[in-house]
Amino acid sequence: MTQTQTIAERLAQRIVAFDGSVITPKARERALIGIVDTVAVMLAGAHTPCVATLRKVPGIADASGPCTLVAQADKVSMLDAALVNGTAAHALDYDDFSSVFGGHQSAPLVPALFALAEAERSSGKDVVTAYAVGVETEIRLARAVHFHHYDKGWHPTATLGTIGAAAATARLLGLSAEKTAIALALAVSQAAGVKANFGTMTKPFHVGMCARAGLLSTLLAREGFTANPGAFEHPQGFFEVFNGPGTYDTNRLFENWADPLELEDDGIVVKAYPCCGSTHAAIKAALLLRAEASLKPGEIASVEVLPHGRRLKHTDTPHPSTELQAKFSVQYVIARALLDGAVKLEHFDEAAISDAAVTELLARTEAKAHPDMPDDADSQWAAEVVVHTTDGRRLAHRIDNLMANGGAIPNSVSGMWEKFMDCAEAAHLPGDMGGAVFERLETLESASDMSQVLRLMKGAPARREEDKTSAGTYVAGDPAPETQWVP
Amino acid sequence: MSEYDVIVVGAGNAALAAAVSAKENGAERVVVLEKAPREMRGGNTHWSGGVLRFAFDDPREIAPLVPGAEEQIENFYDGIAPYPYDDYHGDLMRVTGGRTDPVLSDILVRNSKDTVFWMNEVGQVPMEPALSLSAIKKDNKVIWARGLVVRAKHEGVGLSRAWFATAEAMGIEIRYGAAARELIVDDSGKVCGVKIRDDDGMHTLEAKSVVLGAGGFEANVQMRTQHIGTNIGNAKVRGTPHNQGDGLRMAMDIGAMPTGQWSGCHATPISADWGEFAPRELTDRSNRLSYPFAVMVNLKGERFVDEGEDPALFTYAKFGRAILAQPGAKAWQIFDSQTLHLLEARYSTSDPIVADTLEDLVELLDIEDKAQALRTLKAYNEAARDAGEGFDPTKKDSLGTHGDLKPPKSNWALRLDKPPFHAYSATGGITFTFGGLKVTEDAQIVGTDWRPIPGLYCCGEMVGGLFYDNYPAGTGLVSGATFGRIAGRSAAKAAQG
Repeated sequence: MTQTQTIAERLAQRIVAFDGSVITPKARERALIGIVDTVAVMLAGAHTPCVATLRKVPGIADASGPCTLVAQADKVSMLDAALVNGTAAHALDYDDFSSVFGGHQSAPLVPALFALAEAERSSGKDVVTAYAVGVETEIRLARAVHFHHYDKGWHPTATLGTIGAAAATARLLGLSAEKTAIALALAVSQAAGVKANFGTMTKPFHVGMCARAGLLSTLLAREGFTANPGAFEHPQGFFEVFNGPGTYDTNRLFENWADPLELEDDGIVVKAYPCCGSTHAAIKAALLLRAEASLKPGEIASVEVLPHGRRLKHTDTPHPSTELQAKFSVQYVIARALLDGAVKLEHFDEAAISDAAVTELLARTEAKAHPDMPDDADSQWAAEVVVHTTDGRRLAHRIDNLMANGGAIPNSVSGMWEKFMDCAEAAHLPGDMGGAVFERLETLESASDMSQVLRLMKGAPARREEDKTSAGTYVAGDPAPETQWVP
Repeated sequence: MSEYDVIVVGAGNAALAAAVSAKENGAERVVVLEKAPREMRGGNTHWSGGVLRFAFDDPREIAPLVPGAEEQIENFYDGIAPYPYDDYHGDLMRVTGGRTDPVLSDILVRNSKDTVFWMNEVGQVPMEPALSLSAIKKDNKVIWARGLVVRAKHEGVGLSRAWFATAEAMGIEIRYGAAARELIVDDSGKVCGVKIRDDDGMHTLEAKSVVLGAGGFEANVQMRTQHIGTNIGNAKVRGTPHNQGDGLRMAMDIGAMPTGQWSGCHATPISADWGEFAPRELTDRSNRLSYPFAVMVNLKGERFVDEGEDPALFTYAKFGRAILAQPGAKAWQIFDSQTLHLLEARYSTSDPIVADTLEDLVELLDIEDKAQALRTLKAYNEAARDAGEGFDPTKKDSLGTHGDLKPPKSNWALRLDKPPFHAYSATGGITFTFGGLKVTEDAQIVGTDWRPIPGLYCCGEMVGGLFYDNYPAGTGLVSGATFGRIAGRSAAKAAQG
């Protein structure tokens, strides 16, 4: 390393020299979890109004190409796939995040990597390595600019995610260090996204745009496009413009680079339930209580939900009537957890919210701040759930710190099965391909050609409602026919 | 002292049922030897549809298996016919031409419901109504195919995952990449271990008893050709490439007796797009069974079957073999746009070849005699019918070809005249083999001397004598779990004795 190297060049050098063997088994599992989680939410988000609206714009994803739009029938260009799949990945705000990053580290990376990998027929192993590079770049950058960057109003998922997506795709494509630096500099000029647009379709659009921009940076660099490798430290460059003098520390970008990997950090959180994160400790307590006591819905006389006070303020919604209210109702999600043993996407439509069994239990459910969890407690991701049974028992389960010891992320990819299948169901893949997709992703490193992985995620062409028959197409007069299904 | 109480060879539904059952019945040290690496684990179970055929007298008996079904599906129980012992046994007798082993088939049918409940309760296998496979909506009621109401949640993939999770939770050791090569027999004639090959070489594992649940020989081209014939020798394999007949061979090496239909197998038309083995992630989605709405031509450009003779259920077995008998063991299924919406969802796993005219389409296919193919299609179209003449995909519509077209197409004989035209490749795919070993009621393997071999049990596809020519859909997994459970229990008892 010489003094004359720019930040982009130093970063590029590390990206190119990144040795896959530094990925420990724990980091590898975390990488697969991040990829599986992103695909899950991408599938679930594919049919949201946000994605449908994006696709109405002429010129967006309306020409064919080599890349799959997940859960849709069309194949489009790399850039369009990154844009649309990227938007889908964040459409439900159900994707993983990192407290250090102050945002969602996987959603910008996976759609960009998958688009490139499908077109280039890359191996799964190379995608996993490139993903690790992307996460490392994003979160190291976050360490350099936070939390001023976040507090100032930038959406780090989008700003830093763009640079991370450029880093990851440049690595996957095998760009030289020189061209990787150009790609990073190009990404700097495309980084964007402000928090003012949170709560609107524009937030997921940030992610789609940053996946696309990161990938475009890499593709332009490959073709010999020019950019200033000094774009990070320039007086009119990334740090000075996005943060400002004295609000960042570039040393932190390279300090302990990849040692250990950011993927090993326990600040990474996989959202286990499709509702406000402040309800998650209580949900986990309720599910564990239900399982330990083999509790049947009919045995519940009344329920007390006792989260940490800070978690209750915005989730105290005793009688939700809309999808959004239900997602911010600790009472509703606990009632669901106790009734169904799960909190799933399907629990947030109107029919589910007005379901008699759940409204009836809500009438017997009370939430209040936990009396023994002070405002200044070490962990504020805590809750206790108490169930009084019809035969007079008092059952309780308490979660003291949901985040402790990486408690917010499963130990292995297997722990993603239920969430993945729930999301895949919402995507209506033809022939219920969800399980097959999960298993393929679970062992992604053994996939030799990513285009064969992506094709599993393609959706069916729109069908007429009357054609959606089940396997029994042949209706004979027999009231109990033979199966028409052939194994 | 032996290292293990029970060694289970194989890791599909039957083998893992045996391992769980052995543990449940008191065997402390149970090991599962899975020849495949982790990412290929689970045998043919992974590829299966997860459907479970079992006998019940009152439809409401199944309620504990499918909680919530009554709320999810209107009038759920009204659409289910009772499926008593006699019906199930009758179906087995009918499709096997009366040849199913009377003792084994009785055990299978008698235990079928209890087995499925055990899979659910002890095996922790979540289940659901098999809505997309065996239900027909009629008026306001969903009518269920006889005996086929329940399947493992998320099909074979879900079933396999559930078994592995349960086995691991029970403290059963699972060794991946551990290929059993040979059974060790002591001087008393008792099986006392297994010689295995793994990444580190050869090892000998000692055990008090051994259960073989290693599948049939469908993936072994030599054994297929030898036992079933050259046509099936040419078949593609729809399931795991690891079912190479190892278990059968190992057992016969120490004197086990073969039984059942060694010349028989389950085979069906599948896509010819892939190599010798269909990709694992496609599970059972390689089938190409919508040919009643297509015209099938071989590489010589000729038709060779009456595609519309009957619904696919009744013709797939012989048509799979018929395709294998064609040059190159391959055919093309040609559809026009008026029937595309009727294709089974499984067709989505490959991309069709598409053209706006039949001439252009034939040009794109690897048919050797393209002129003949066009003559064949022209002759067919001249004899074929219009949809308006009574086309009805829901039943045999008698809309057959006119004149003396050979072979005729007896139903659904629509003219191919609505572009674009789509062609899907088809060949014959083998699912599993019917030949197996002779076992006692305790699933103990019997030798060619008609004496049970001490310490040796088997289950799953390796049990011979149940299926001949065909089998009722949904029976394979239930048979696997039934005999797996028995084999595990017997092995555990033998280990303690």
